[in-house]
Amino acid sequence: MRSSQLPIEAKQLTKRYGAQRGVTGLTFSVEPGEVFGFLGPNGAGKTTTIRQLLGLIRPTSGSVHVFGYDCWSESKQTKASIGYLPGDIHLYENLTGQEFLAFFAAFRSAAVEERRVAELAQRLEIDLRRKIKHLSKGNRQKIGIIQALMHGAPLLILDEPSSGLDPLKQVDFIELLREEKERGTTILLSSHALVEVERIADRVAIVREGELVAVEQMSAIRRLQERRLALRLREPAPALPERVRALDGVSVVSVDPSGLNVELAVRGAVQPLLRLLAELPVDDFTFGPADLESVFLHYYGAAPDAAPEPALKGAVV
Amino acid sequence: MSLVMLRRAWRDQAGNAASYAVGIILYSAMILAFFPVARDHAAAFNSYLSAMPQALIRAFGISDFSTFSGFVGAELLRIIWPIIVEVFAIMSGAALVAQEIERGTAEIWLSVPESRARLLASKIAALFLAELGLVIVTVITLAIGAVILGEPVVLSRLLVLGVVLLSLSIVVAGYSVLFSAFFDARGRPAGIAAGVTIAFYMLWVASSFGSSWSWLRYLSIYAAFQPQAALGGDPIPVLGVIALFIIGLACAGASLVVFQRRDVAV
Repeated sequence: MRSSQLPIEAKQLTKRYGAQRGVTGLTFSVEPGEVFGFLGPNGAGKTTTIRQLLGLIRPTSGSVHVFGYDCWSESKQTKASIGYLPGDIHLYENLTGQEFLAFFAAFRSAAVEERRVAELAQRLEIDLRRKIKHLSKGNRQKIGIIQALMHGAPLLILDEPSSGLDPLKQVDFIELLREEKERGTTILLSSHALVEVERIADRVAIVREGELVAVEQMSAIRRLQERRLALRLREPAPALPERVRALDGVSVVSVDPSGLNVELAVRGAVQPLLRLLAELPVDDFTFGPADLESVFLHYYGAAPDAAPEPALKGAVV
Repeated sequence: MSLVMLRRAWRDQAGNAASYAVGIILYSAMILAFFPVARDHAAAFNSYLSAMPQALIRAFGISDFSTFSGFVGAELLRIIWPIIVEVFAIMSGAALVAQEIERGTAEIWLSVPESRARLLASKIAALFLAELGLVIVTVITLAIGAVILGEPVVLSRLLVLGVVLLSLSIVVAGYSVLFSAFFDARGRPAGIAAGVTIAFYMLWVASSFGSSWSWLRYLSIYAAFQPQAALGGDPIPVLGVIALFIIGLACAGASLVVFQRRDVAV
């Protein structure tokens, strides 16, 4: 690792596949100890960017550096600092989990402790003695996660990391990432499971059709998030739509013919809304969790064809 | 060279090569069992050979059936042994890069802190070691067979035979790996390598059709492949054998350059 260099620094990073677009002119950097969310639908260019970080593909123009080393010409040095989990992981089928991890650990023998591997296996509840070909997708993903985390790399690059994990294990995985973050590990997290990015990311980059649409602090992203409030009233409230519209950041999504069931969309601060609710004959209400889907819609609004796919709704509660 | 990668690749190759070695041993044993019949009826066999077209005899590398080297050369080393070892070299060589990409394992394989060239060089070394293993198995099997059949065993001839056999193995594996470095699935490089090998053989056969065709032999790797001459203590085309090694190693070296520079998109 070169001193005083950023974990990731991309400058005008561009990759074209002949006439096809890969990514165009990406410029961003990731600070030490930061969790950096990398969001976009399939085909947006997330994996192309990650493959350039790993030195798997060569930039058409521009550059990307990891801790000061060029990811293409000095990939051996960059990879020494990276714990990597591919998006669609394929492992060596004829090895057991143990053999697979031992093989990858041997490349970094000084950095991998057996105790750490055993601890990760225990927390993710995976039996490493079984052959990989007999494991489910979720269990293969767990081996991939252990492989990425076991050597304590200062930079983790995780492409769709919770793919295949059941909801409980997704929560455990987020907890593992939190611990890594507390240890000072820098994390680049590419994901469709928006909730895992939202819970842990400090900043988020949004890519669209190979271009960087925005790089925002998570707090700024949260302000753009839209939450849905479903109200059930004991009796219809007079002039409710007008009273709601008077509130900043609140709009009426729907009101049923009886006027008893109302759905509101809420952005930003909730105090004015709570004051209004106190004045209404509220029988019950549900307030949906905030997510980044609405942020996607905000950025994708200008291009309806590029709207996010249904997978973006795969949030964990 | 990465020792970690070499160990892993050796385990993979050795397991694969073991089944080919068993095939070589069984086929060699069967052929050797027939040799006493040929030796005891040398006059009849030689009369039969003299009635065959000389071009055909040359094309299939037949010298005579009555000597150990002639019989083993014609029945094992000129045809069947190259087929067995070439299948191994082509299928294994073509797999080294292309199969990793085809199976989707290249992404995680290349995430280790080693250069691509060193990773592939280790795999190539393991493949060459496996081929050396097949050659050693062949030579030992023939030596044991010779002892059992009461034929003289000359160590220097066996060593030269081993070198000749290895040279053919290395050159076929070399160009198979080179083709593999260009492609994303094993089928295409394996097909191209098999086609090239068959073309070399056809050139060799065609060169036997007459003096006006004989120059074609210099375009074929089989011109330098004279295992029965090595086993019989006759002169072998030393420069040709050296050329096979050089071509094989040069192809392997070129595969490292190609693989180091290409995009790997799984």
